[in-house]
Amino acid sequence: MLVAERSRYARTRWAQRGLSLVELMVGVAIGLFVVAGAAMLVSNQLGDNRRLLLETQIQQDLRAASDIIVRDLRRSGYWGAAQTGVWNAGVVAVSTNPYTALSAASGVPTSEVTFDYSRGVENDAVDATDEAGFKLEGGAIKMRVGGNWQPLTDDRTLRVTTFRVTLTSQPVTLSCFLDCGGAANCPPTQSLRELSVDIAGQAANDASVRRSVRSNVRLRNDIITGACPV
Amino acid sequence: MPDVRKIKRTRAQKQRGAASLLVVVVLFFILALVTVYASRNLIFEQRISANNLRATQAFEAAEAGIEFSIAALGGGRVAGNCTDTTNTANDTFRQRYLQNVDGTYSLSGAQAALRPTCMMLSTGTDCSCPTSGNAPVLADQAGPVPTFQVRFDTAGIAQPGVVRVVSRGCSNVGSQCYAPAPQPADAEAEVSVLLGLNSALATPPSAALTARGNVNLGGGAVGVSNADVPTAGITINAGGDVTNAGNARLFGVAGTPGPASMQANDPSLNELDSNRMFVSVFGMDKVTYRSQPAAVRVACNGACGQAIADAVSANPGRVVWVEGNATIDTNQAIGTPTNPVLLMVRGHLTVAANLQMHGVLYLHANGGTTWSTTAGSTTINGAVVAEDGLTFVGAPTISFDPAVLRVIRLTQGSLVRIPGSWRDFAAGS
Repeated sequence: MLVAERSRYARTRWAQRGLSLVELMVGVAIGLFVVAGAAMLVSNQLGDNRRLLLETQIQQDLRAASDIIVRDLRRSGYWGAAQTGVWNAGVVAVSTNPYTALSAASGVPTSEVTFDYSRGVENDAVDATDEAGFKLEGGAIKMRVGGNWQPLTDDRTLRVTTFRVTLTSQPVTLSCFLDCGGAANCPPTQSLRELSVDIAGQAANDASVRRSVRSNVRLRNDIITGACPV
Repeated sequence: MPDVRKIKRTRAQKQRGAASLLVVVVLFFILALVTVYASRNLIFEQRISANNLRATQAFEAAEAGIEFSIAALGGGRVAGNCTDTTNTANDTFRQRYLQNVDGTYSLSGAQAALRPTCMMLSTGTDCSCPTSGNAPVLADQAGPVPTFQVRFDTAGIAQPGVVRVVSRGCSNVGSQCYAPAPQPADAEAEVSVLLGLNSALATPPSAALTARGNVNLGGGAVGVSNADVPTAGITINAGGDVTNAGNARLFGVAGTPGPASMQANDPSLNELDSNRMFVSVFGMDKVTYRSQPAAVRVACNGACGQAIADAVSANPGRVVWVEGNATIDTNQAIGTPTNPVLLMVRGHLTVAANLQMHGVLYLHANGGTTWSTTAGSTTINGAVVAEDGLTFVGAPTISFDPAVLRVIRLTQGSLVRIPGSWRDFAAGS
């Protein structure tokens, strides 16, 4: 008991003697190293996080834009009175679909595509409200709504660098009751059309953050060109 | 007591790293916050992805519903679970959900409430083609089971032979797509398209017997009659010669002598080649016609009277395409005046029993058909068309029946998409 008491006193006294300069320096150095390492870790993490958020945002914006574009393109050529475009015993002549326009040429990539589909009350004519389209202008994709071009993406967060629409068209030959006799656009063809949409963009404030999306869309409303002899 | 204070002070003096520790702890706390924030964004991102997936599933299910309807409308008799059946107590999908009044489609009050539904399980599809209510009731399925429900709509379509099919797809079994389901589905999509009847007999023949080439009546008592005034009572219309007609029984409209009702060497038939002949009657080429949804193929080589009769019985309203030489060796009654048959025989036809047929018989063996009736009596009410020449052995009876041709023209054939009618949004009104 006495021995233990004495030895504790001895240790305390030794500890009370203060710190040498070397000890202090080593302590401070180790402390600084630890803090510096942690700070670096934090700054890396913050940088990565910022990048991740930017990438997510760019990806999300591109995906949303692509979704809207594909959804709209798919409707191309819709005609509210499509039944009047097929023959039946009661009619003399069949009407043709007024909404078949599609600006893209097969196999040629374009950064502006315009098309029509019937919206609102069917009047068998292409009004401003029936016009649709997408184009790349000033780093943003613009959408044609009611005859006006309106931005679809925000150029303050996303700078779209590529917007490319490519049409693949596959004609299917139809048959006529009567022999065509070499007439032009006879027999009629039905065009099966597929568009592929490529969009690439980068963050407006950080050009190193790049993302791209690609989607293919089969246009549901095929177009018929040509006519049979009557 | 002073000892204790001394000890405390010395401990504090020893812990010189406390500041560093504090700074590091604070930094790590910031890191943790940042990580939480990032993962919140990632979770949000994943939720968007999941929504995207479900929306796509629902949309594709709706598209599948359209394809299902097109195929089912061209099919034969279906049971309550939409599978093919030969049980004549069942009707066809088309008869069950559409009524055809003089070629115009409409829905009866009961039909308007019926909703064919399919669930796409990993093991296959589970479908309900109800005849009343929701029966048969489908088992509720947990998990991502895309489902579609189809309805037909004829409102605002005045044109004959056109109907709108509306298909609603769900990402899982939900009440939007199947009323008995307890919960709504996560995502739904609705698409619709107009279907038009591509008539199986686009231009009905105007004579009881039409042949592009020569007709050899074989000297037998072949009976051909056409009492229909609008078609001028033409019994035999041939692109070539009609020979050995001495004993034939030909009846045109009253007042026309039998032989005068024949029209041989018709240039409008003669100038066609065999493919054009086919197209001019049916409006499409052979390959397309044979592979259309509404055509059912029967492979024949020899005796197949029963096979043909079975195919006709299981597939009312469908075109029966017989491939190969056919021998009808058992007594058969094929087709009725209200439900006639369009029978195409790609080969020679031999009838060795009693055959009573209502409908159109199209014979197109390569290089001309031989039609033998070796025993029994053969009666065809409707019309007979031969793509090339036709040689008779024996004496069948052919009566022109415009009502039968009209029923075939207005009700039979495939329902196909009308280009330009697809939409996934509500139409303007």
